[in-house]
Amino acid sequence: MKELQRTDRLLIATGVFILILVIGLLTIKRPYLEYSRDLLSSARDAQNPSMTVYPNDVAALLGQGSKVLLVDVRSEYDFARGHLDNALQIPKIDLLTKKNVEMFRDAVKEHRTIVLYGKDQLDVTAPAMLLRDLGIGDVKVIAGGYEAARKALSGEQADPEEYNAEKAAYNYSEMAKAPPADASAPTNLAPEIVMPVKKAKGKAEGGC
Amino acid sequence: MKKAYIFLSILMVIIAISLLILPRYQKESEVLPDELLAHIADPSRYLTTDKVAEMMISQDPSLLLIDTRDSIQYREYHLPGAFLVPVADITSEKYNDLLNQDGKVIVFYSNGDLAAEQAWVLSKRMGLNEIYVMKDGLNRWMETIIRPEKPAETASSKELDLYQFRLGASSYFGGGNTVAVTTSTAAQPVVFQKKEKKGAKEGGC
Repeated sequence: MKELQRTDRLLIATGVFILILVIGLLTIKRPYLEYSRDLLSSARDAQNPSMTVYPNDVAALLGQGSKVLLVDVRSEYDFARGHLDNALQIPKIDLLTKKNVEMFRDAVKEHRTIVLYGKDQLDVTAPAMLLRDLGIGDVKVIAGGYEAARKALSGEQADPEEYNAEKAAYNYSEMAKAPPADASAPTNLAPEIVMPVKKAKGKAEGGC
Repeated sequence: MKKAYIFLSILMVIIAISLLILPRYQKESEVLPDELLAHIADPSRYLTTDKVAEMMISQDPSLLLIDTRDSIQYREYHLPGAFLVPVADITSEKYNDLLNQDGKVIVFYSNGDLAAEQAWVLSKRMGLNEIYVMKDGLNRWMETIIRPEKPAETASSKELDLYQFRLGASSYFGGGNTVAVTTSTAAQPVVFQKKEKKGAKEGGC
């Protein structure tokens, strides 16, 4: 009899123990957004040129109609002043709200291309990278931003190289070595570098 | 009874093993996506070329310049004191110690600013703090520091001050005056021009 009671207690204790473990495992805090791409592949893929749409190709892009989900990350004010047709305005900070993430995921399921644009390419580089890291499709960006796209749509042909923001515009080593073209440079006296220090305003400066 | 003990001990062993595996999940101290987005939306990471030049001239010991281009471009030209960390390799073990130094202010730069921005995103996700991007990169560096453009006659005094600073910086970095570079390899003196402080109370009239 005694023996039996002890086993019972043991069973109950074991049961409770397992129950607590199960509850603990079920309630582990899981963020609803998780990176689907690790840092290494994100770094490897960072400079993949196929992610950039150049202004000349914007017209073709817009021509695809509903196959494209166009997102404008500029402010509401800039958006109101002018935006590309059918663009959705989503400020950068709101890109990952539940509603928007679901919209992006649906768009990917329907095989639509997500294209971000802002006031320049830098504006959307980081957001596009983050969305790609989260596994939200191949998010593309428009080089040159809204202004470049607008100009290209109005018929101006632009050299894609002009919008390659990473292109070296000068021969740096030459430029850093050679003196400037105008020979008005001072003599061999090394000029002192003067950094203006802003004066602190006095506590009370009386006037008349 | 014996059976129950055996069962319990097996259970304990299983839990112990699962605890061994669990930390690997949590160990990744990556910044969460929504947190990262908040950082992305904050433009305070962009430094002007003037600010970077000022930090370099004042020989700020905490400054760590990182060149995010490739090694060919780095060998061709890089900012004095900059280290090479190509974007594609930034997650590599060998740069771990360089990037994870306490008390360092890291400034990424590239030709434009896209590669630097990407390096910033990756480092931010890795959990680094105090990291910045040089806005408009080396292209802008050449235009403002190495070959500063003279402001118009009607420019504000602020712009003229900035131009004066850039002229000085230009010769410091060897862009403006080759003679200065050959005569003194040491850094030129930097003089902080202190304006006289006004007394606490200065009466008018």
